[in-house]
Amino acid sequence: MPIPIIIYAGIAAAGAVGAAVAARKWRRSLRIAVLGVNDSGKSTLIDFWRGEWVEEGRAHTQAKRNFDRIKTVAGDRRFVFRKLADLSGDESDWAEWKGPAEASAVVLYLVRAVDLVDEERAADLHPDGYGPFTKGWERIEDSAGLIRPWLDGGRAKLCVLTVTWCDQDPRQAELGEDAYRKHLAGQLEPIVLKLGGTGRVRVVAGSLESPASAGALSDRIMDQIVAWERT
Amino acid sequence: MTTGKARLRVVYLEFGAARPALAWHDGRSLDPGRTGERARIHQLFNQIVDRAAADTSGPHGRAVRHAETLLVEVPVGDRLLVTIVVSAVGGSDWPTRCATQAAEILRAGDLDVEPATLSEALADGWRTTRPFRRVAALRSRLGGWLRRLFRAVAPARGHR
Repeated sequence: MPIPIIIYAGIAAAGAVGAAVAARKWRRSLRIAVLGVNDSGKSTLIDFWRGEWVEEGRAHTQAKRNFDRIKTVAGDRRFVFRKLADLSGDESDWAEWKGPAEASAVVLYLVRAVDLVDEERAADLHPDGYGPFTKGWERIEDSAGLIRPWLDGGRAKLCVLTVTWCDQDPRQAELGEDAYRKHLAGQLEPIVLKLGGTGRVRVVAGSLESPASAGALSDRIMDQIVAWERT
Repeated sequence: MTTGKARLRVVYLEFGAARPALAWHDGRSLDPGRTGERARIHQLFNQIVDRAAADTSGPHGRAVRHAETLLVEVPVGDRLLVTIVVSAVGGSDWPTRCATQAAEILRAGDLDVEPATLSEALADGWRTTRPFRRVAALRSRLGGWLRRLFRAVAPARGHR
């Protein structure tokens, strides 16, 4: 009796196709750019999304890596990142950030917490005025200034300013989590302004020291993206 | 098809935020201040990666090939990678020649790397990124499936 088997197979195939289509709809499709200076954690975050966590830490990305689709989950939400590029954070590559920044709906701009600590310590030594800005802070300011026109002229409506490696910031333990986040937001005000102001920029902070902490940071980033999409 | 004499184009290594990258491009070592010239290295990387016929990872590191240009990323220490670009790949001794030159450039930047490590990465990278390699693998797999299907169907036919 081959005919009933064919019918059952057809029904099963149609069901599988329907389920696949539904799953695809439930997955939020996004084009995002992940930018930031050297060691800010761009590749670590992207590898986490790809499910390719490198326990001993990975080498710096030099030649960019292209990913057509990265499927990831944040909490109970599923995302597909399309055409995501993992770029070098070296100053000589900043000009190459332009393409991904202009083409993306969301730009993540990563900064290292240790650069913010160094800057605060340097500023404390010069309470009467602008101190000699640290190299790390200068790099953050310079690259943020470079990104701004790409955000103005491109597709991006949201910029998530993401502070990474907060586990290496002693202020987190000193202040407690909530006060620390507020403190970071205050310190990053000039950078937020450089990127276009609070209308466009959201600040999140977290760590990338383990898959669990990377997951928590990823969830915070996605919370901002989802909240922005609802507005 | 390989025609020209292989030429070492780039030797590049980033140390992170702590130290400027070691950059060598078309016969010249580039100081950190030469941002524009260093940017050309990244433009070249992007051209190769965006147009790559193959982008693979293996035991010797990553290998990316566009036409007769090969880019390899070879692990050379604790979280350090050296990126080497060779163009007009051809001739029998090109991996050794280019690797020796690259090792000398790295030595000048206070980094000792065995030329053999680089040479193996170049040779392996060129071999594993040869054009139509995936098509050939797919064809061979498809052939295997068809053969198995034929074997499964043939006795049934004979029985009928």
